[in-house]
Amino acid sequence: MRRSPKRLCVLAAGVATSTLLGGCGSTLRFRDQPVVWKVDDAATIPEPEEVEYLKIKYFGDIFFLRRAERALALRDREPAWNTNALEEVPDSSWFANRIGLRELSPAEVARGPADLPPPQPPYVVVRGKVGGGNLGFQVKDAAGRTFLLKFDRPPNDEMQTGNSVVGNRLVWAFGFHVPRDYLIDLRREELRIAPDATAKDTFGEKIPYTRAMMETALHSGKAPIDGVFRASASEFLEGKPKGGWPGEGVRPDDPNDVVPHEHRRELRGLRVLAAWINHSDMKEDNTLDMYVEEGGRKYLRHHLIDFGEVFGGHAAEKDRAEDGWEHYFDWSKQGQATLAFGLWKRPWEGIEPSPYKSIALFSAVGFRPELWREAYPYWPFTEMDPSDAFWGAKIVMRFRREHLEAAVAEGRFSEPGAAAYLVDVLERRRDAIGRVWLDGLTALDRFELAGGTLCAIDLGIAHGLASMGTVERLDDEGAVVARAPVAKDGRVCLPVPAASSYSVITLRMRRGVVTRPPMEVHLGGRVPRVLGLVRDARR
Amino acid sequence: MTGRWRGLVTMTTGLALVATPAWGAPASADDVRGADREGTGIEPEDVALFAPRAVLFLPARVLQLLNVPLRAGLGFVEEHRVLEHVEDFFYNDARTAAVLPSVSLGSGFGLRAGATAFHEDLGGHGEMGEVGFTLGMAGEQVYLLSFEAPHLLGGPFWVETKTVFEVNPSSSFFGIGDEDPRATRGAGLDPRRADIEAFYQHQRFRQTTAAGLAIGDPGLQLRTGARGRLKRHDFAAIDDPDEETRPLEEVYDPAQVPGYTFGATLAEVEGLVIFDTRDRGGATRSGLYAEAFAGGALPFREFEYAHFGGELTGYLEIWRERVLIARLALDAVEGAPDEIPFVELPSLGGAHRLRGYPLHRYRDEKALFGTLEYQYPIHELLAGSLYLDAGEVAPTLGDLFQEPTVHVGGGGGIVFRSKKRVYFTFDVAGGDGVQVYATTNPLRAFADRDDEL
Repeated sequence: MRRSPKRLCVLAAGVATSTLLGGCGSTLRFRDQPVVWKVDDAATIPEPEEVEYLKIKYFGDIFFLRRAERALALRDREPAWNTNALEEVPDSSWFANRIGLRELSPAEVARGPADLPPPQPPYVVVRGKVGGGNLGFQVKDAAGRTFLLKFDRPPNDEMQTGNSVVGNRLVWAFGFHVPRDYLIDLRREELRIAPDATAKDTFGEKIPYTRAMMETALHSGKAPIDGVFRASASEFLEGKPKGGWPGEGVRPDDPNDVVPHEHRRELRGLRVLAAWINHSDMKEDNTLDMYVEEGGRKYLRHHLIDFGEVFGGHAAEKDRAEDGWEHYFDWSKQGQATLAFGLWKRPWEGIEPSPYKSIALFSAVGFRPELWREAYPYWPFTEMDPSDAFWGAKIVMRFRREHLEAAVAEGRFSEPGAAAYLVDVLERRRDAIGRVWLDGLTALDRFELAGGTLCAIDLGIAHGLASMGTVERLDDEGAVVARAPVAKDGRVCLPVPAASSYSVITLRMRRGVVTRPPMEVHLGGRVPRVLGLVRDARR
Repeated sequence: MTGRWRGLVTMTTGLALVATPAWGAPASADDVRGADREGTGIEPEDVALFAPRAVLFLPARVLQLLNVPLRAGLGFVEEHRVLEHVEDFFYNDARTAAVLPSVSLGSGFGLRAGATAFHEDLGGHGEMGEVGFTLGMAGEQVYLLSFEAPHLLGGPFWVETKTVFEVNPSSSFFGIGDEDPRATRGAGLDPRRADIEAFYQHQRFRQTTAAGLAIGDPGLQLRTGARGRLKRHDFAAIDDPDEETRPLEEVYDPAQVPGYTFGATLAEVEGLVIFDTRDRGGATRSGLYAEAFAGGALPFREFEYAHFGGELTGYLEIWRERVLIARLALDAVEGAPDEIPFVELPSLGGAHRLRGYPLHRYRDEKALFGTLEYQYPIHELLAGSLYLDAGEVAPTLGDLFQEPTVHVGGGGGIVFRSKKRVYFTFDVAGGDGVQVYATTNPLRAFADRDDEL
């Protein structure tokens, strides 16, 4: 899969063991076959056990134990394992290509996964809510559907309830499996506590759910207006919950789960989406595997859940101005801060919160996607390479302003200007992502081979990230053998040698004096065509 | 590098999904990619990292092995809600009262263990009562009974009372004053003419009661009141002296150490005023803390003296939680030298007064000391600090400024704090050797004075 520069190979091999190893490196040769757009990882499996999320153990691992082990392992940088010939992610039980591959209307984005009507009163409280930073409870609505209701946390009225829905829509459109989330208004008289409703005490033991508990939850958030409370309602996913998926390795009880999660492109590329919407609360507890039955097969479907803390939500809940910039315990950043004796202006210092309580600290000021960090180290994010980032950025760049306006409208932020502010920030952060992670590589896409000409679209120009560019074709020694300017609409065509058999075209984008890393386009087949891409030919 | 993929593959041409007969056939990651690999598969980085990986192979395995029980332990603690059960065992249902054991390891003192029982909301307005004890392997003992009400019955009055009985089997004595030349060896020395470290046993009973008025809220608060203390000091030679720990009686003439031979019984009263404009109790960024007191030991047997002092600490945020702190403090007693027990002489050294020097390194009737400290943020619960402490002691206020002998210490530390409070600080300071301190708040000159034997 990797094609290595010869000089690097020689240098590295010469250091110690080249004679023993007899050379190094490998190249890819794409087969003359259709592109794989769906991986069927839904074979029937025995019902797995539910995995309990153990917070202390999880944090102990990500901040200390596993972190130290990974440091000593001197891991190499591996490309993602589950990409197709075009470096895309096929549909699977993990991911479904949506806005990345087809045009979604703003209405589709606004609706997201919520393809059923919102919950209908009256509601019967059946359980208390366990865990998490804000209060809530589980209800069954008039149709018998089960929802988790959550309320805002003072002083940030409308923040988490609004974020839940907006985040849900954006994550769904990106391609992840998510629950149906709604924003609802409810009145106390629409609530009834089931006689057998339960909560859990400090020790995890079931106790009767009381009216006092419900009142506490109801009044934990925004004060009711004319007796109407605002809540987010997340519908229980179909199937049986089996806990979150680990950030590293595979679930041993799921035979369909064969790609280590840290090597799944969609989970690595999720970092781009997370940086965009500041989903800094990414952790195992916010993922959920469901044992579902579909088409006669029983398998695990993998979901992302709980987006109440996207945008400024996590920063507000944890009172962390550095949210999105540093891990909670960040050995490198906080170590540097210790040794800098306060002389280092950390990038997040000086960024002011928005004037909106419902948005708080979510800004495009100073946003540098490559510096973004989740609050709790998530191993797939640490494995993200430029090709993963390109993949994620390519999808993020397909969200247009009307998509964002439609999604944000679902949050019903009532502060004048708050929704527009959020859309503006998302747009500016999106473009920052595009400049760094999309235009950071040779951003050519949608290749076509016709006759002796190879045409493509320069996504940098197509998305307005760049105003001009020249595509250079390189030979095996890295010398430029052909050049073609990119048209204003982003289209560029280059003559390529008549390929009698398999050939590899190395292309590089030049913007002014700056060149981007080269990519490879593999041509061949009985009817000559593009067989595959290597997005970053340095690896 | 490439795992076998037991899933199944559906292929399409273009973007239109077309199911294919591939169903049922195991596929590898390369099948999804639709590619085959040519070459050795060994990457340059594999070659470059071969040697370091070989070196780290064993340490990595050892670490993995060590992590197994740690991981299992964390899992057990959480799965079985051990922390919640422990808390439930020691605390009441409202989590306002508890009986807690304590264990600590102090340098030079070995292991200490004890227990404390407290209730922090006795009257519903934050009134705290506490009873406890600590016993150390080296023979130290502390027994405590206290009550504090910051807003008695929710009103503006505050009350504190504390009764302590302590035994310290090995306290340091470096002589009195700070004059040259100094003897470095000898016996039966005048404590005002020598500064050799010697040791003594100290037993103390102390009852303190204070009450007053608090006006304002955090951020702008004035506290005034009066405090009375009843104290009894008794001293004795240390057990098991050696070359390093010479008893006070062997080095100095005990008769010239006021109060040493027969102990001292004291009754002190003083008035105090505290003006506090600090913006936050923990990660303080701005404001002033001023404290002043004046009073003295009432005529009671042979001891009689006046006692006064104060401190002024200012906080100035230079830029975003980079805070400059300046402090000046004076602690003074006034009276005939032989009517002031040596342990009541203001002293320098220790975590609160002149870091870099051991506790009570210098003592005399007047002590003037100051601090310049810079604190900078590291984490929401951590700050770093760099500081310079300076101080001197003298028999009179005039002597403090005529031919001053200023002792300087400096160092750095870590402050563990929230916005509301300082949990503790860890300081390493140089001055008279290198000293390490762990305390709650080194910037309060008089906060722990009563507790420092």
